[in-house]
Amino acid sequence: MGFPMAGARILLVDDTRLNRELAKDLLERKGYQVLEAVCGKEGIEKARQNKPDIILLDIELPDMNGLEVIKVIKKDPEINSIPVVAFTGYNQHEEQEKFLVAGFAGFIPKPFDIKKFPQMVAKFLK
Amino acid sequence: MNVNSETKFISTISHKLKTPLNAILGFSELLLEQVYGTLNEKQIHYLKNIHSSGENLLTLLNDLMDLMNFRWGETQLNYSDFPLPLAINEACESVKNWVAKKNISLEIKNGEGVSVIRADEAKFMKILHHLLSNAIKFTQPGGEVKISTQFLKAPPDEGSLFFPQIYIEVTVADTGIGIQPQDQEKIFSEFYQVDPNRSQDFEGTGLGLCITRELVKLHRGRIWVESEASKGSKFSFVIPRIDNQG
Repeated sequence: MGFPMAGARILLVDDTRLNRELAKDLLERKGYQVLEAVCGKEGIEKARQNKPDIILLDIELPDMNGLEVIKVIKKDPEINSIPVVAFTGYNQHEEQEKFLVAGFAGFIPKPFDIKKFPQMVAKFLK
Repeated sequence: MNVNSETKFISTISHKLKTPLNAILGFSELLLEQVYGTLNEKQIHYLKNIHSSGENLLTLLNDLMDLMNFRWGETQLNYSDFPLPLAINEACESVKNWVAKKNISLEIKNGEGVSVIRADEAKFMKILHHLLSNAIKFTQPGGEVKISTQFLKAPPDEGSLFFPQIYIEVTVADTGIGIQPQDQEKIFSEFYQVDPNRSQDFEGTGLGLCITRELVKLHRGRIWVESEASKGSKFSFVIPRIDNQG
C-alpha cells in the first residue's frame, strides 16, 4: 500500500536504544528488515557486510560523528552508492545544508512524526 | 564563554534534549494507535497528556534555538520569490484540523493584485503560523479567525523615507479574548504571558510573539496589534515586497 520495496533492508545507526526500538517497530510493521548499529564503526562494518538498501545515520555517535562516518562510506566503492539519510535533532537550516554537501541523500529530523516516518524513509528507497 | 562556544553549547544541549523527547513522543503516539491493544478512556487521556507535554517541550526547544540565533545575529535570510496567496493557503492548511476541532471558522481574504513576494519563505511561513496559532488558541469555539493580505504603496503611519515602494500587509484577526491596552506592547517580550493564572489553559512557551517580531524585523518590517478585551485581536505586519538592499 504505497510502500515500495517491501523487504528492503534498512541499516539504522543510532546510539540511543529507545530510538532504535521505536524506528525498528515502525519500519518492521511496514514490512522492512531493520539492521541495527550502535556506533559509527559498527555502522560501517554492517554496511560492508550486509549492503543494506538504505542507511539511516544519527549524527552524534559515541565514537565518531555522522559526517566522519559518511566520509568513510563515500570512499568505499562497495557501499558508496547506498543512500545515507541523516537522522538527527540538528535541524537548523544551516546544518541541513552541511549534510547535503557531505553527501547525505536527505534528512529525517528527530523527533519525527511516527505516522509520516515510514513514508519519509520509503522516499529514499529506489 | 564566548559567543561561539555558547552557541555550540546551547545547540548541543537542545539536540541532547530532543533525543529522549523522540522516544516520549514516539512511544506515546504508538500506544495511542492501539495496535498493541485497546486502551480505555482514562489511559488514552493520560497518554495524550504525555504526548502534548512532549510537544510543548519540543516547541519550547525550537523557540529557544530561534531566539538564541537572533541574539547572536546568526539568523540569515534566504530570500526567494513565492506567491503570497499560496503561502497563506498552506499556512491555513496546516491548522485545518485544529480549527475544525475547535469549531472555528477560518477565512482567507487576499487583496486585489496580491501575487508573488520576495522573502525568506520558511521564516515567512513561521510568522504566519505563529499568528494563526495564537489567534486560534485564544478564540473560543464558534468564533472566527480571518487572515487577509494586501499590497500597500507605503507603510501606514510612517513617512515614506524611501522612494515609494510596495509593502505587503498581512492581518490576522480573531474574535477571541482580546488583549488589554496595558498588555499590548508587552506581549511581544520574551516569556510574557498576559494572565499567569490563565496561562495554564492557554499552554504556550511565551516566546511565539517575540520570535514573530524578530522575524518581521529581519525582513525590515514591523508588527503591531489592535485589540479590545473580550472582542478580539488584530495582528498586522508589513514588510517590503521586494528586498532592495541586495
